[in-house]
Amino acid sequence: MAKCSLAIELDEPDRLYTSNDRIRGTVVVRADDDVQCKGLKVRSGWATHGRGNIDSHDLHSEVLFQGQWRSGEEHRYRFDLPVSSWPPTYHGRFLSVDHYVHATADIPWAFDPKESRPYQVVSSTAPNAGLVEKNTVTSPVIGGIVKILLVVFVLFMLLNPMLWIFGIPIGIGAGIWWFFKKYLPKKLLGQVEYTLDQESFQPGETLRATLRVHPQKDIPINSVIWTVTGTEVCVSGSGSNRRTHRHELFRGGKLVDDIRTLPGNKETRIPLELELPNEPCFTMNLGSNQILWETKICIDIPRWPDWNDSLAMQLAPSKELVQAASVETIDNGGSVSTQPTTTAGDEPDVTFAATLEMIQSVIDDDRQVDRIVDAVRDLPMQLNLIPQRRELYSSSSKTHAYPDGHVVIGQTIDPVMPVTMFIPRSLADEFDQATDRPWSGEGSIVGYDHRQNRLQLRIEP
Amino acid sequence: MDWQPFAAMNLLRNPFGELTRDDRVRAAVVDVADCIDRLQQPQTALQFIADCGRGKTTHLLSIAAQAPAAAYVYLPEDERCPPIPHGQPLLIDEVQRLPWLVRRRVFARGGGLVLGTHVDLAGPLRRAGYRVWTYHVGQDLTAERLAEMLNRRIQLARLRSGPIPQISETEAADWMTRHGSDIRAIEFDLYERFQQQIGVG
Repeated sequence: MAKCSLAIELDEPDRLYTSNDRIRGTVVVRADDDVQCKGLKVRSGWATHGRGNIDSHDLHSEVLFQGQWRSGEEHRYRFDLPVSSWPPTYHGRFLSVDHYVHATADIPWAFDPKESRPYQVVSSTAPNAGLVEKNTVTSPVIGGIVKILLVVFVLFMLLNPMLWIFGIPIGIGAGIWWFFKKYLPKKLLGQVEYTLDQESFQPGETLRATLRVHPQKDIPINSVIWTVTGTEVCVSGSGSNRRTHRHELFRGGKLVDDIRTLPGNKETRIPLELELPNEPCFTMNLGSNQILWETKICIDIPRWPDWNDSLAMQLAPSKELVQAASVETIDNGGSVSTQPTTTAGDEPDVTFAATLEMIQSVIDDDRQVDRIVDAVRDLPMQLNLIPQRRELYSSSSKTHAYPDGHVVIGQTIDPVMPVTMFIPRSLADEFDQATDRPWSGEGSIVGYDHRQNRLQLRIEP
Repeated sequence: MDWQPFAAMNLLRNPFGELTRDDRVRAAVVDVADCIDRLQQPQTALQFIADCGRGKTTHLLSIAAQAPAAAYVYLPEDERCPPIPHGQPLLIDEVQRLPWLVRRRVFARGGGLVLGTHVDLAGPLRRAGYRVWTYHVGQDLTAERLAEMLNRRIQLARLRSGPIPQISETEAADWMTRHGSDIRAIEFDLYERFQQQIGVG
């Protein structure tokens, strides 16, 4: 039986997080007995769940506490962790991706209590994963290397008569396949080119592709069949237990049956268009769990092997999607966060009073105080203070002080906390006149003096 | 937390998806205390025999979790035999795939052995000087035990305090009628059942 229980309280449990966001909250520890904790660790990251083997990634972890908890006590530890912007939160049939804050208490000789809290992530960009590698293989250098290796392999086979026993049937099989699947269709159709207008698409966007055929003589065809599929592909187990689970998320395409003949000595251009679904099932490649988008095209030739080709594509998120999702979160109201998601580059709204309250709640824990100070360091804030007296520079002040400025001792108003203020020379008179009276102005938190227990503030000129 | 598809059931996720190795041990309903005791004696080998999906690997992982010096290795099908580590005990999953020569060397090492296998290896183990204990996994499966296994998996996916879905013994007996002792097949069906309940499946 665990001697303590953990709970995670997120500051904004229903917020949509995106790149550059940080997730903040509190780990609440309730001890049932005296517990020696080797480390209360908190980490943020993502994990898949569903039919496939678990793929996961921890973005950041840190130790919030080490020491003893007494029976019956409740402790609260603040955390502030980065958010991974990829992969986005996704819930499908065989594959789900969730982002979590995990907390674990390492208790010697006991069952380690664990707790996880999911949070929702939307992405505005995707890494270039999952795209077909066909394009890269066609690069001249790699193509050349592949050809050389093939020639070396064939020579090696020819020079070893014993290998002919294996080589001949393999060669014949491969030759038959190539002859029927590649050579014969191409011989008839001549130059065929299938291209996508772009490699990356967004949900709801129109996918455009073009098929160009240039036969040497008139070729009768039955139809051109174009299919676009999005599939969840999850692998579970390994070895004899290995299974691949596939679930088709989307199937669309076009049947071109109005062209019955491809005219000879003339290029026929067949434009293909399809509206992609508006669902955020983006191309993902997470190891055993993937979402793959593929387009296939087939020219159905009567009494002749069909010509086939396929190209992978990427369904990627868009910035508009992130904005729309954020607006939806606000509109929902009720239990849903009314805080808009901060976009990349925007700073979250941090007030001086809220920061002071946070510092005061962990004032006995130097490390926690430093963490909060580091998080808000140099952020411009509206300060409300009571200056008390001017002080001479001390060695500990030199880092933050203005070269020609002054150091003033004072306190904050609500909550009350002793502070050291570094003021520029231009404000020296103003501070002298404001002694023991409230003063408001702009400045920032620059540090915490643990020796004197004073918050250090730099006042802006 | 309403955005979570299983939040209405007070669950973090579908409880019958794949688990991490740690979670698999947490969800296991196996009593390995007897096995751990037997492994204290020298030259002891335990072999767990069963078809796929009956719980051989779960037994091996549960023993490994209780023995700090243990080493676990899984032998994949149609792939090269991985290096066999040293451990006390040494746990080998799908040991019937071990090449004969390697098997002879491993059995000659001595020390505790825990094997997951489809074939009875008592003969070669005894010839190598081992005292062998054989467990036929899945044969003693009851509806009560199956219900406990399934409910423990649901418990692992709990979102917050409060009621969560439960599998009754009657339902467990129904599943056993359909799939026998193939727990993996039961879990696959339950995965689909849970997905259907949230409208994805």
